Amino acid sequence: MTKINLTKLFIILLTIVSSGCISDLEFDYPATPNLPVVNALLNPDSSISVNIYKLMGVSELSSELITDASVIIYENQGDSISLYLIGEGQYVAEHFPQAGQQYSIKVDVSGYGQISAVTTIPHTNPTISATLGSTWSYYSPPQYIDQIKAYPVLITLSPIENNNYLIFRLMAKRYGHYWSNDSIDTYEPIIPPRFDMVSLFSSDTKFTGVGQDTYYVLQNEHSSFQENFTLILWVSQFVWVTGFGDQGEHLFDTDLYLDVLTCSPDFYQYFRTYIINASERVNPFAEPIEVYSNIENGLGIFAGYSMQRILLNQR
Amino acid sequence: MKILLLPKSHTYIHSMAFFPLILILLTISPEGMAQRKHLKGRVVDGITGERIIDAQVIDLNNQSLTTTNDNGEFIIFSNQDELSLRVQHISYIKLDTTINLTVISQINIPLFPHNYELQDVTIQFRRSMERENSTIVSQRLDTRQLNSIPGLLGEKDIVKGLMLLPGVSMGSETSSSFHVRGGNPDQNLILIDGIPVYNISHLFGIYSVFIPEAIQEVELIKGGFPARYGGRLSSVCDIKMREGDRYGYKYDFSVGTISSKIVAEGPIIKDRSSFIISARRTYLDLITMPFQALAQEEDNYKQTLGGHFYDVVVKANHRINNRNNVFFSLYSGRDAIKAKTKETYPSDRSINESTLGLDWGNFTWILRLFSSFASSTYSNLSVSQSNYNYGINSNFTFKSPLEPNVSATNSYASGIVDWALRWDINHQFNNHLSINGGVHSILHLFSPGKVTQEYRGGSENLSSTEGTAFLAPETSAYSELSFSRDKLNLSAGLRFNAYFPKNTSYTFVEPRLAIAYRVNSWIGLKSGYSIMNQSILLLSSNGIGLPVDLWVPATSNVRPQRGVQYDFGFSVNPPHFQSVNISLVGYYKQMNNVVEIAGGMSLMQTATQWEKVVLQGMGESYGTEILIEKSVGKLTGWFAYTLSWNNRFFEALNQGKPFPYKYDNRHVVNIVATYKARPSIELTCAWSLQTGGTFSLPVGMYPGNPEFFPQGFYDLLSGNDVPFPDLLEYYPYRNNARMPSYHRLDIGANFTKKKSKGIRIWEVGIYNAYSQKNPYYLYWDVKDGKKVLRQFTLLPFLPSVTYRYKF
Repeated sequence: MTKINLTKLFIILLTIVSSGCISDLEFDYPATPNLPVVNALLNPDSSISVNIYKLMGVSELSSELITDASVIIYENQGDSISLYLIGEGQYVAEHFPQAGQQYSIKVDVSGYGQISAVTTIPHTNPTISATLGSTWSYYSPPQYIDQIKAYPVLITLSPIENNNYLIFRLMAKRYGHYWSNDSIDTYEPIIPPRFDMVSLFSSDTKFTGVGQDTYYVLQNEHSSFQENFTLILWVSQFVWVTGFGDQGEHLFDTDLYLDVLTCSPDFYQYFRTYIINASERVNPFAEPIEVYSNIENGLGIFAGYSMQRILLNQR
Repeated sequence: MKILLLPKSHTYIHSMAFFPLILILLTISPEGMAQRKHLKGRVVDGITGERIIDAQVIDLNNQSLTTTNDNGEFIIFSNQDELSLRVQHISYIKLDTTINLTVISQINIPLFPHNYELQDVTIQFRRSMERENSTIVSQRLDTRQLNSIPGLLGEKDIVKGLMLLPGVSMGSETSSSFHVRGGNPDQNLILIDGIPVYNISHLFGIYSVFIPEAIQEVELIKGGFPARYGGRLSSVCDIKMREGDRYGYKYDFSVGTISSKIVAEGPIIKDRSSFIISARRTYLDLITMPFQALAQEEDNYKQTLGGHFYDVVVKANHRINNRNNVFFSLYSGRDAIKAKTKETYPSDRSINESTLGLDWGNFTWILRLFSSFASSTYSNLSVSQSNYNYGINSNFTFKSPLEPNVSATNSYASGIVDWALRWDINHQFNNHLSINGGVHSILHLFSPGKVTQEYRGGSENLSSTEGTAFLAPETSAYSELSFSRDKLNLSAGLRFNAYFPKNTSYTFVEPRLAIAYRVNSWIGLKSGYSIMNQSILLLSSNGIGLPVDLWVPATSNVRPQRGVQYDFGFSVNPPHFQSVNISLVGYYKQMNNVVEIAGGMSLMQTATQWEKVVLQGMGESYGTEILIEKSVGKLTGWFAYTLSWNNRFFEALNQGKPFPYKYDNRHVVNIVATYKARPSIELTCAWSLQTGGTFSLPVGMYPGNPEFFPQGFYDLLSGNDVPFPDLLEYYPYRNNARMPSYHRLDIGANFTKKKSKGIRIWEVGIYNAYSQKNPYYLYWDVKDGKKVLRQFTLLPFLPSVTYRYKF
């Protein structure tokens, strides 16, 4: 009988067991379809800007830009605004769109059919007010299995126009942190101003976060508000916005702003599916969510929104 | 791709044509009127005296077949003085005997297990085919063979054995949940001694809750469902626990790589009552805890992580008198995982302690009275409870000599409790015709998502509770006729079900039919038809096997699932290969109101409003199953092949177009072989191959809006940056690609030796013997600046050894 060398056997077994659990997957990727992508988010605070690309392969490093397009935007199905190329596939016009108006886009590119889309820009909420509560409470965010010390943000709103939706986010102004010679900490605003997002949660069933995301609170689909109403959101007592070292800063030691986005249905669907798509990418077991598109004969988005920024706290 | 729409009415009544058929059966002149003699018998295990349920008793003169009831009893009528009987069961050696009815009218027939040579008895081994073992209505499994299949880290697992059968496919590699003929895992009714078990997973699905040594029989029904079963669409897995040795005390210890087990059994009152107790516990936590403590680098900061599971099964039975027997069985099993941190601050002597725990488990029991009234009427009356719950708990305490103590507790719990009352009755008119009937009432108590928060600190005491429990009664009644004559075996039944969730009600009528016809001595045809409805649903937010799943009732907004299935097949016992049985079955199944969770919605986020995250749609599945089995001889085993298609259709998904199901495994091949090299050495290997499941693969990317996510985000599992977060992916349709094929070879060997006081067994096994890197999940990564798809393999190659001693 052959004598088995146990040491050799052990080494062989150990090598096999520890041979690594991660490997590249040899895969025949399907061909990438030839589709144009049009991206334009319209709001009254910015001039019109449209980006146009070709759909790129999954392993390509950059998008192929479309630079020979004819891009026209129509305001209220009447006045036409021609856009011109300024580079990087970006087409612009020195025109600020207005709330309450309807806009449509037509893009002509050789090799593709007529590319078009329609949207409206909603008005902002006329009587919105928001205050940061001064008494903390333990709050258990739905995305967490633990609880945090949190302060309430009380928001009063007037009715939301039909088919429009609200989205909330909280922004903290970023400061640079310096140590002077006499060891006194100094904070100065970064120029140009820079804002970081702060986690925001809702305990109201008509407004929730989506996916794994903790930054946005979205009005739920199919919910409507015909009368004035009050909403309570929650923000952690510590926010992670300080300049150097990423230390937690107490809420009341930061400049805090509440952004309220009033969205057209197209913007809302695009934003919602975008957030879910992006946040669920961290979970390899989640089914991917396709991002909404309203572009006829293409991909991307052409949608309007309005934004209000409310100061909640000043350091 | 064809999807058939089913009616949306709350009341489903189909194929009333079954009634005439039943009436015809009832009007068959019972030749039993002319039968003056009968034999009443009980089939028992020749070694332990335990009753054998579902043994087949064949009258060889009349070619009529009857099966033993839940008390192991049967009755056969005859005009003749001598009765030639064949008694068989898949786990036992077949027995042929002749009985003189002028002398004997009652008999106990002992059957001996296949591995009889390890016992102190010798009987003649009969080499003959087991052709009656598999019918279209059920697949009865040889627990001895299932137990010989090597398990992961030495833990034999009945459920992993089920996954080697045709028509059954596994979900993810570690999951205990299985898919039968394209159904979802929640569509399997899994019964322990007749009680439903809602979660069969231990350690996130790596093991199932069943202790193999305590199981007497496993029956898997995939189609042509008997009317006595209901409430699930895809399968019934009926697991019967052993009753315990009636003659003497026996013990069975085993020490494995990660767990130990003990089984103790014996008579309570000799030949009148017996018991069996089995228990199992893992001890990875006990082994690793001291090492974790030693590994702590900082004196002021301690962190521990531990987890374990246990199972306890208790069963007892008692013969009150010749007519009445009482049974009690109980199962309790639980998983617990706990992470604990303790931080001390020497400066002010304050202590921060936090714990995070996750636990889930089942607790079930049943009390059953079996009675025989007249010579051929039996009754089974039972009361039972099944309780499944899980919880996530976090606790934080702060203790300081200078400040008031603070404690905060947060818990999330979900569960389901069933209380059930059931009465089944069986009457046998003659050798050819019998009727079963019964009523079954269940009171479901659902508590999907209860959130409790408490805070105590200084003068502040806060507490809140969110989420409510609610009741949903369900009642069903059934009748089932079984007819067996010459070449024909037929079972026709009707089941009526009424279900009363909040603010609404549903009633269903479910016809059932199973027919087997023997063309000649070696070819048999079989066919089945059944309608099933399912009033409780499992909402599962991912496929990882985490217990963060909700069992919820159908409501006025979420409709019950409904399935219709047709089977047709044949079996062949080649005349010159009597030990081989070949069967081929084709099936077609439609499922309505199957559920999915809306994308991006977390169950924990919406537990109190789960109805809002449910999407309902339709499914269809069809395919062919081939099983070639050899059940006697030194070499036994089977070859199973399934070719199937499995699609889903949801209005809210994939732009309303049909798409392949995640577990649409086109080809599944399983080969199991056991070779008895010597009486004391048994070698087993099991090889599995299946087409990879489907997944959504992007075929293009385009720029998104980076300002939406200025911070970027991290992969939950790897902690790495998600590559190219600003690029959106384009999918032409859902589940447009397939994972690589999955294949694996497990090998094992059992070395048995008789000792002076018992039997010692060494069980050696290797899981994934050639270390195939099967993908557990896929993810995107960056290589040389390009996005590449990578796979993570969980279980490459795992040897195991288990020591077992029986006495």
